[in-house]
Amino acid sequence: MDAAALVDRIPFASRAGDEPQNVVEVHGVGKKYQRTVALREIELKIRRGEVFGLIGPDGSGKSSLIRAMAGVQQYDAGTIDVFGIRIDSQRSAERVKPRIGLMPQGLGNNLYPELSINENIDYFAGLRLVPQDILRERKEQLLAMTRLAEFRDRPMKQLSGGMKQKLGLVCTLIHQPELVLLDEPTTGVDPVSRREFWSILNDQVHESGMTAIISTAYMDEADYMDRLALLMDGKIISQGSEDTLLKRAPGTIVSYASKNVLLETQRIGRHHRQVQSLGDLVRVFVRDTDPETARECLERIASPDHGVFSTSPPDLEDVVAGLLIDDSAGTTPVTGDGRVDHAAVARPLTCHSDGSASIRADQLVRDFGTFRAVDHVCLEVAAGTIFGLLGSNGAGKTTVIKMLTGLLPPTSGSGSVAGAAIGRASQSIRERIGYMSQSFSLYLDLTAMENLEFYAGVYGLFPTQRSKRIAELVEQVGLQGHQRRLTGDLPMGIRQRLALACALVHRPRVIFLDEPTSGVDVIGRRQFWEILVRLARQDGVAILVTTHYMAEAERCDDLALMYAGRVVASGTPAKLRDQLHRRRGTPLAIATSSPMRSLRLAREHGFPRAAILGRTLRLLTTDIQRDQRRLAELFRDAKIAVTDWRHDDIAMEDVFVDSILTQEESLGQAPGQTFPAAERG
Amino acid sequence: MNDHGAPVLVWAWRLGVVCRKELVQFLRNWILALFMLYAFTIMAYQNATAISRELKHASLVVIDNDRSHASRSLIYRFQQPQFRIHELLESSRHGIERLDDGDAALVLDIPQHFDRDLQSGRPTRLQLQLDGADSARAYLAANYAGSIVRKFSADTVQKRFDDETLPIVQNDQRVWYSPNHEETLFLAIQDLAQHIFLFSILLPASALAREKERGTVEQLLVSPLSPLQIMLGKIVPMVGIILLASVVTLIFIIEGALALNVRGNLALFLGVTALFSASAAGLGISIASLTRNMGQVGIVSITLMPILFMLSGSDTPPEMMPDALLPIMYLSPLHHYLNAAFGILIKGADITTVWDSILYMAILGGGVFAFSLVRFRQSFR
Repeated sequence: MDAAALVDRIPFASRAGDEPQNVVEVHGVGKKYQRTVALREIELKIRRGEVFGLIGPDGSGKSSLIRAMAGVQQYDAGTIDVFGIRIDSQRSAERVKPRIGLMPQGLGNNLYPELSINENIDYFAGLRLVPQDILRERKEQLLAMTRLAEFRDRPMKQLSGGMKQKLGLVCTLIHQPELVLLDEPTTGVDPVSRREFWSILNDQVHESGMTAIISTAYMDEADYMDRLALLMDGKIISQGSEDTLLKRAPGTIVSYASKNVLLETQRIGRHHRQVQSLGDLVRVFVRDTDPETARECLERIASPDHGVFSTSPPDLEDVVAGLLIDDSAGTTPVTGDGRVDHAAVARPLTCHSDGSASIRADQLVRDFGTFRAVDHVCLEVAAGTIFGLLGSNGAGKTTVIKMLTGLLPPTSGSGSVAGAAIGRASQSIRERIGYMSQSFSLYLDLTAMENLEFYAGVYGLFPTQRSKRIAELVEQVGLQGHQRRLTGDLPMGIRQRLALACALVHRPRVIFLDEPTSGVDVIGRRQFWEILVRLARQDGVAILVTTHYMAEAERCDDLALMYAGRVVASGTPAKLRDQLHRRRGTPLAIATSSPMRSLRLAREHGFPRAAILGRTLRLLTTDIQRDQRRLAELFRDAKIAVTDWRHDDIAMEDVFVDSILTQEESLGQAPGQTFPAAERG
Repeated sequence: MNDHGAPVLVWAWRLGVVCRKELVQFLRNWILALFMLYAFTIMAYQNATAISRELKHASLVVIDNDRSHASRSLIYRFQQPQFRIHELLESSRHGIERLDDGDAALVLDIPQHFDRDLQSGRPTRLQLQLDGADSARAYLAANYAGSIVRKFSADTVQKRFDDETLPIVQNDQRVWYSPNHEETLFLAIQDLAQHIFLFSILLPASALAREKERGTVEQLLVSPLSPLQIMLGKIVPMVGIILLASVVTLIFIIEGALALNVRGNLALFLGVTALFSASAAGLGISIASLTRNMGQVGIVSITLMPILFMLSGSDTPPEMMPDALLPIMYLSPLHHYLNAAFGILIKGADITTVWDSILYMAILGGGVFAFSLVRFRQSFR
C-alpha cells in the first residue's frame, strides 16, 4: 500500500469541518461501583484541538471518566458522544476506537516489558494496521522527538519511569489518532521528564490538530492545559481555563516570617480561613485582589514582631482550597486546625538544641541484584524539624525509609534512629519510632476505633491509658465523629489522618511518613501538614516525610532531592533557592506565539536548559537586561511574537530540574535517561 | 511504655491484642465464616453419607432359563441393599447388551435344568457376568454374589442329606469397633480431618497474604512485635476457630444428625487436633511468606492440597501405597493425625496407644513451624 492509499485509511487526514465542533460531549454521566459513587452528573464539552485537563486527587473519578470516554467502561447514567457518535454500546465504541488513542494509568502499563522499544512500537502499529512506509517515517520522527532513538533496542523493562511514559506516548500516537486520552501519564515521573513529556504532547497537539484529554493529580500542570475540570469525589467542582478558574476565588496571597508560626497561624486563622505555615513563613489568602489593601489588612492583625510582608497572586491550589471551603457542606469540616495549647507553645522549642540528630543516614547503599536503588545517601534530621525527601517513583525514597526503619538491611553504610544504630533496631528502638507506610496501611475491615485500639495494644498500652491516649489523638488529628465507621468507608483524607494517629499512638520521638499525602485533596493535605508542623514544633518530634509533590517541599524545614538513588541536592528550601539563584540567576517566563519554535531557538542560542512550562518558555538568567534584549532580537528575527515577559520566583521544581541536569551532565548522559528503573519501592 | 508489669505480661498482652484483631476480622469477613460453617456442618454430613465404599443397589439382570423353584429361591437371595434386580430377561443374548449399556452391573445366567440337576444330585453351573469398568464395584459384587451362591450351594447339600452332619467349616467372624461394617463414622472423621487440614492452612495463609497486600505487615514489623508474635497472632486464633468448628461437627453432626457413637476422650482428641492444626497453620504461614498475594496463596494451596491428601493415606491405606511413597507418607502430619483420630474416636484409645502419632506430629509440626518462622523473617529482608 502506498502513502496515497493510506490517506483514506487514516481517518484523520480526510476529515475537517464536517463534524461537530466538540470532539467529546459528556452529559449527565454517572457511575457507581457497588456502594461507592465514582462519577455523578458529569457535564463536559471538549473542543477540537485543545488540551483538556482533568485534575483531582486519587479516587476522584478521573480514571473512570477517561475510560468511559474511551468506550472501555460502561456508565450508569447520562450520555457520551465522541466525534458525534453516541457511545452507548459495544458496537458504537468499536466505531470510535480506531480514531482514538488511550494511555492507561501506571508507568508503562500498556507496554510489554520484555519487548524492546522498537518491538513495542511495531506491535502497536501492527494492531492499528499502520502501513510499513508510514510507520517507518512516523517512528523515526517520534523517536527523535522523544530522544529515545538511541535506545531503540533496549527492552522496555530497563527504561526509567520517564522513558517508559514517553514510549507509552509514542505507542499511543503511532496511528495518528484524532483524540488521545492519557490517564495520569506524569504521576511519579521526575520533573525533567515531566516537562519533556508535556512539550512533546503540546507540540503534537498544536502541529497536527489532535485533541488531548489528560488527567493529573498535580495542580501545577494546569499551566499546560487549555481548559480543565477540577474533580472531587466524582463531581466536577469547577471547569474552564486556568485564568477563569483563578477568578472564581479572587484574592491575594500575603506571606511573612514570624517567630512563632504556630501561634501566628492560629491568630490569623480567626480572621482568614486559609492560613498555612511554610517553615518559618505564614501564608495567608486575603479575599482582596489589591495587594496594598491586602497587606494593610494583615498589618492590622499580625503580631508586632512580624517580618516583611510580600504579596503574590493566588495559585490554582489556593483557589481550589477556597472553593472547597465555600462548599464545605459537602466536604470534611476543618477540624483539628484551630486550637493550640498556648502553654506548650510558649515553651522554648527543643529544635536544634542538642545538636545530635534524631535520624542520621551515612553513605547508605542498597542493591537489588545488579540494580542500585539507593546510592550513598546521607541525611540528618534534627528533633523538632520536618525533613522532606523528594523524588520521583523509583528514585529510592521508600528504600531509604525501609532501611532506616529496619525493614531492609542496607548493602553498605550506616545510620542511626533515635540514638540507636539501624539494622539491629531492637524492640526498645521500635517503641520510639512511628511509621506510616505508603497507601496508609490500615485494616479496612476494622473501624477507626478498632484500628487505634489495635495499634495502642501492639505498643503495649493497657486499657486505662489506652482510652485516654486515643481520646487525645482523636482530638489532635480531628477524627471526631468517625470513630465507629469502618475504615474502608472513610474518605481518603480521614484515612490519612487515622493512619497518622495510629503511628502516633505511642508518642514516638521520630516518625517516618512514606508518601502520606497522595490521594488526598487540597484541604486534606493542608490540614495534614498543619498537624505535622504542630508535632514538630510543639512536641519536638523529628519527622522524615517523602513526597513526589514539589509544592510540598516548601512545607519542610530541610530537603533532600533524590534522583536515580542519589541525593542530588539538599538543604533548607531557602538555601536551595539561594544557591540556584547565585549559580544560574532568576527565572524568566516568556509567553510567545510559538512556544516550540522559540524553545528551539533559545536552546540553539545559548540557553541549553530552556524549557516549556505550559504556554511559556522558561529559562534562568543571571543578567535579565542583557538576555531579555538578546531573546527579543532572536524572536523578532524569527518572526515570533512575544506577548509577555515575566520575572518569576525560583520554584522548588527549578531547583530539582537544575540539580538533575547538573548530575546528568557530570555523568555524561542525556537527561532523564540514566537508570534502569526497578519497580521496587 | 513498658512501665506496667513484667515483660512476659506485656508480651502476652500484645499477643492477645493481635489475636483479638484477627478474630474480629474473621467474623467481619462473614463470607469466609459462612463457608466454614457450611464445611463443618452440611458438607460434613453430606460427605459422610454420600460417599460409600460399600456395595449398594448393584443393578442385577437375571436370565432365568429354568423358571424353577430352585432358580427362584436363588434369585430371591440377591437382596437389597446390596443388589437390586433390574430386569428379568428371556434370552442370554441380551445379557451382554445390558452390560454394554451400563444398565446392569452384573448378569446372572441360570441354565436350563438347574433345578433338575440339583434334585438329581448332579453338579450344575451358573454364569455371572460383571461390568469390570468400575473394578472396585465388580470386585465387591463378585464377592457378595459368590458368597450368596456358596451359601445356597451349602444349604442345598444340607437339605439333601437332611439330618446328617456334614463336614462343613463354619466361619464365625467378629468385627471390632464397627460390627456392622458401618463406615459412616470412618468417613465422617476422615472428612473432618481433611477440613481441619484445609482450613488450618488457608485461614492463616490468607490472613497473612491480606496483610502483605495492604502493607499492614510492614507496620507490624516496625512495631515492637517480634516475628514470632506476628506469626502466633495469625495461628492461635485460627486454631481456636478450627477447634470450635471441630466440636460443632462432632456434637451436632456426627453424634447429632448422623446419630453415631463416638468413643474416646474428647479432651485428648481436641489436644491432638490443636497440635495438628497448629502445624498445618505453620505450613500456611510458609505458603503465605513464599507468595506475594491472595491469588498465589490460592493457587499454591489448591495444587498442594490433593497431594497432601493423597500422601496422608486417608484414601488408600499406607500399606497399599507404592514403596517409594511410603517414607514420604510418614512426613505427612495428616497421616499421623488420622491414625490418632481414628484411634481415639473409633477405638476409644487413650494416650498410651496414640502417643507415637502425637510424637511424630509434634516433631513434624515443630519443623514446619521453625521453617515458617525463618521464611517469615527472611521474606522481609
